[in-house]
Amino acid sequence: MPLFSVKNLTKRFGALTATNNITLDVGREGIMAIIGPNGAGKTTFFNLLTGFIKPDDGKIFYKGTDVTGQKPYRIIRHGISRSFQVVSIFEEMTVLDNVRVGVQRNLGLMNKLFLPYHKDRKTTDEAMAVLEHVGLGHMADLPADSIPHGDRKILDLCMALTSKPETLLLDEPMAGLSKAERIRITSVIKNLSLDHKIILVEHDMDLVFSVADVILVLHHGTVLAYDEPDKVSANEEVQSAYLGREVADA
Amino acid sequence: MRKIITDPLVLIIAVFAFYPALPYIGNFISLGSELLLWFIFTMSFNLCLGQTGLSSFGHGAFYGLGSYGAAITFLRLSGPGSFLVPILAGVLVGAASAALLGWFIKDKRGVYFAMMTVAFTQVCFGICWRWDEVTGGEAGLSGVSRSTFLGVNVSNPTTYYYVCFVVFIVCAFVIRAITRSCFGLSLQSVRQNYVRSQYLGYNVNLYKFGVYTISGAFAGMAGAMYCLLTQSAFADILDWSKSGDVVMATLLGGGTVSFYGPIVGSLIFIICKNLLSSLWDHWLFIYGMSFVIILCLFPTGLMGVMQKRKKKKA
Repeated sequence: MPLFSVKNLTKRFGALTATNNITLDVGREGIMAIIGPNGAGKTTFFNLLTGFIKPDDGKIFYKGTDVTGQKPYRIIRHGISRSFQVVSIFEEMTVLDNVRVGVQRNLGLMNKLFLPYHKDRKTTDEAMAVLEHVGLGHMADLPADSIPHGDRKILDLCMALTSKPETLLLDEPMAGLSKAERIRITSVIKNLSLDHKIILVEHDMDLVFSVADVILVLHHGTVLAYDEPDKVSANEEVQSAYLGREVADA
Repeated sequence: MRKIITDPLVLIIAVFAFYPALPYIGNFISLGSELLLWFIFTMSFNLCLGQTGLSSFGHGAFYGLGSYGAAITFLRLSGPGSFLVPILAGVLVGAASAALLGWFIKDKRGVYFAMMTVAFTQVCFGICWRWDEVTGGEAGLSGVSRSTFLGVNVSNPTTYYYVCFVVFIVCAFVIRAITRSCFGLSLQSVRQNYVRSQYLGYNVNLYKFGVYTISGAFAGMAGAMYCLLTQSAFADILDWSKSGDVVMATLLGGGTVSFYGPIVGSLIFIICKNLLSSLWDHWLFIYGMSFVIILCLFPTGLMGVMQKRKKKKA
């Protein structure tokens, strides 16, 4: 069964059709990357899958269940989770508390009116375990707004893991990172792909071609190609639309 | 033990335990009661603003409706001699009105949320100001009295002060426990980043509704006890300017960064209101100017300054 199955998916912003009648089954393999030139509709497609925006038309199924137009907090209950392109964390909390928010939700403790959150052993242990897993354990007590950008990116990713998702959607995990940080995140993502299905939007072609098992190429809101990396890079349409744009211009 | 002694809340309680013995202001016993009730009121407001980021700029509505709820219950239902029933009625009216408003505006944010709450207060004010048969209209409701409660004579101002004192202690610890609880952390997540909160599985709107209702209950209780303090209910406490006072006091004290902010802020506001005003008619000029200057220099209010100094020392 495909992970996501979309039927006639359409999203318009005024006169611009960002997602144009896409019908596709995606995400059987480990890591799927969504690429395309600027304005191709990658982010829109990504946001539709994660319920951030509602489609104008069409349906989205996750493992056979209709999730079209569901609110984010419902979508994640199906086992979907996402990270954000612009780091989206709780800036005024410590690193540990950031993760705690997710963990306590997952443990069903989020409505406890009189249980001091910092005293709950189970939440703390589980949150620490998540941080250790990605190598942020030593930063647990630091304010989240004080740690380096690369670590913030990883924290963002970490928070997405707290709901124990089966499928992880990553929105430009490499955006704004240095070379060294990129290498670090790449290994984190590879590691995560061992027990998660991953869908990512990314501009960094090195990452895409080194980790992706399958690539979805979007162009003008439609699917240009959906194939393995070497076949995608050999695809002439993809080359002219995207990879070989400079050549065509010259 | 050391933890208890250095607890600011314990310090506040210790000072207020001896309020009637304090020099000068100790003579104004009902001022002390008003202070304690204002603490409860502003703490309830700060559950919305400081904890959840809800700009409930019409919070006086729940205080005022709680006050009317208590007065009407006393005058029409429970009658002279009753004490607990009018207060409970105030809590209920506060919670119910906050729940009603909260349900309709739970998906609103920022200025829109703020404006809806202000509008709600004004509607309530209009009703109380005009509906002579029920609210007494412009004349308000009087004739509420305190007699005995659990064998204690609460008609005495000092005794009533201590009733307020006990209620304040309970409310302060309960509200503080809420801010430090798992639920409190959920609320904080809503304030700091509601999008992220949603993607961690939180139904953000439901949390806003929930905390609004809880906050309304506390505000209603403070209002009901205020009604018993003044033994009357008037529409002017529903005026939007009253809600503005709460916002100002909370921000001045530093409610956005500290649980104690509302207490510090109301302490300054109520004392200025009662003491400065007797010295000079235009006291609001001084209060307003200092508010502007302090918040321009220290946007996180007085508690924000304290916290920064503490951090520097550490």
